[in-house]
Amino acid sequence: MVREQAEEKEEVRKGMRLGKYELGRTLGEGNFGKVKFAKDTVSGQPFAVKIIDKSRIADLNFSLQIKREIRTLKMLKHPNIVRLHEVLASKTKINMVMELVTGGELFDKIVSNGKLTETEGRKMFQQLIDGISYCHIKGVFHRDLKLENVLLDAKGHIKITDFGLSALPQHFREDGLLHTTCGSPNYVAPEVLANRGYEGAASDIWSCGVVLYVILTGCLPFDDRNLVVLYQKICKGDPPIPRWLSPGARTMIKKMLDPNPVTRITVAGIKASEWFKHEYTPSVPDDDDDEEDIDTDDDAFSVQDVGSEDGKGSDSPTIINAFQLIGMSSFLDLSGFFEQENVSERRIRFTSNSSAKDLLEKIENSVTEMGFSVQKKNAKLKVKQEEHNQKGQVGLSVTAEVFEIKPSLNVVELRKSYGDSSLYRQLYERLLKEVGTSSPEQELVT
Amino acid sequence: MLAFVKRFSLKRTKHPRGYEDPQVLASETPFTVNEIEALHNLFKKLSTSIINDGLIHKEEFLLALFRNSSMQNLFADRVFYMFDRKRNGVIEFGEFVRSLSIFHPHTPEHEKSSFMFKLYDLDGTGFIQRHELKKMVGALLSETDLGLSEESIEAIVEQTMVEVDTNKDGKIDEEEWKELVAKNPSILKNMTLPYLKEVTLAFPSFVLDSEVDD
Repeated sequence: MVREQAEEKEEVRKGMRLGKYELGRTLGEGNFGKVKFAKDTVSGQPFAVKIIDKSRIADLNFSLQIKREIRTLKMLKHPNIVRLHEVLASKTKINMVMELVTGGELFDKIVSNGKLTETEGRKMFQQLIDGISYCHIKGVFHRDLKLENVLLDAKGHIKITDFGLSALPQHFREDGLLHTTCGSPNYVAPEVLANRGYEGAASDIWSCGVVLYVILTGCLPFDDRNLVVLYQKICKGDPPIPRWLSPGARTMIKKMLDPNPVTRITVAGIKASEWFKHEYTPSVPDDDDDEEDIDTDDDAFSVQDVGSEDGKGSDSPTIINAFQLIGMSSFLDLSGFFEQENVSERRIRFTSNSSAKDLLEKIENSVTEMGFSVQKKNAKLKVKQEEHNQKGQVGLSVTAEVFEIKPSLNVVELRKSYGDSSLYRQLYERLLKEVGTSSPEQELVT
Repeated sequence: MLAFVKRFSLKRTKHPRGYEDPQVLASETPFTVNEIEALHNLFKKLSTSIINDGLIHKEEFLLALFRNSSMQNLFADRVFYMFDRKRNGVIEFGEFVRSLSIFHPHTPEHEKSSFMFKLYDLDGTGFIQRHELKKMVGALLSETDLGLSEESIEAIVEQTMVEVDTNKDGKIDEEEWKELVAKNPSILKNMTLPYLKEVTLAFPSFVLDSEVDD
């Protein structure tokens, strides 16, 4: 107690600064420290800082977990997921600078206003599934999804929080066992309760099903004061579904709350259902264009219509000089320090004697045949395949761009934003066969 | 007593040759002290991958970037040379941080431009000469197995010289270089690493042993 007062005084004395951030009021209190309001004094942007007191976590095997949590959150850049921006640390504290979400918890909204209309509830649910499926594509599972972890931003969009926390110490109780549910077991899937090795994706779907049930009905699908009875109810599944819900909503809940994880509906199944698709606008992940942002923002040539001056169409490729050609060297690209994959696994080039127009057409045809979706912009194609695999296998996003060294000599550059390496390889090999220069000697693999 | 000695010596060897105080590095670069601590985690990994001496040797540099410690490439050599500011054949921590700072998204363009000019000035004459440009085009082409005739290479080089060498003295000086970069910002594309804004998330181990005072 005395210590806490002293700490509080200490904070006040230092004017509550944390690097470039100015700390403000306490927003909440976690098991390991406070969550405070913070303002970036350079940009003026507000954040929430989760302050973890190292001394309070010292006796737990925390180091691996905190590192894992940070690395996990780093990957998640999506409008429906609370973003981690930066981590600061001192001798005694770890400060996680998170996105500030100001609209409160969806839980409180339901508690105070009751259930949502089906239209409004579906909108929330669509965003929830967008966020969850994005994470599953990245191999991240929430494992502790519940209404309290679903926040609302100022515009009423949902923001999922506490990702990657599944094995963090607040879930360890006195007995040292892992209690993923920590006091609110109503959302837990039967296979998790049964302590069988479980698949994260299916268990998250179950929890989303519970969330959907709660937001549409205002009640928990499984509830009992007695934990043993509650667990029995969960394992049996088949909760009472009010008849006044639309048939589409009822079917969706039933399929999501299937006690058998193998037959339970998948993200793909949910997204394919008519009920879900109603007035659905998919969220766009924030990292979709990470690499391309650099290209388009900085490259005057790719935004400006270079071709228009010489009367060429917008399909005309960027004409490159010797320095731009040299700049294509993989050995001038230092991203290898920060990426798991080698540069040459992400950026592949080959040459073609076809005209740029033919090239773009042929590439477009080939990738469409392979089942990719294509977006075209000048001499650039964005090629994408969303996940089809039920196990939530990684999709693929690739940019193909054509550069002209001289007339009838073009370089095609493929850049992978994210996705499956072997699929990328197949795509490359197919394109090389169809549009590459005839001689295999001229393959531009680096 | 033995424990004490051990501990003492550990403390002493904790920071090897070339280690610099994160505070000092932070004051000279766009990085914060925490970011420099995070970069030190990366540096530790790189500098001990082959020879455990806390210095990045050429082989370690190549291994980290290209997953191959024995490859030969003109550009890789040049990048290593530019990082090795003291020109003593190894990259110390301070050199690593100062060089990477050029690649920070917030670093002014002219610093990036000047770094790249020096990188391309193979002979260190203060000019990019025609034969240097040709050599680099050749290196790029061989790297990519693109079979181009001697005439084609000559034509590409000639075309670029005509475009860039505006005072027609047969070599590219830094002024001409700046004009070229202003017209074609994409030339500096390799000089910005967005990853550098996220180093605290990419190398989070520092949170446990940060030496920043409260």
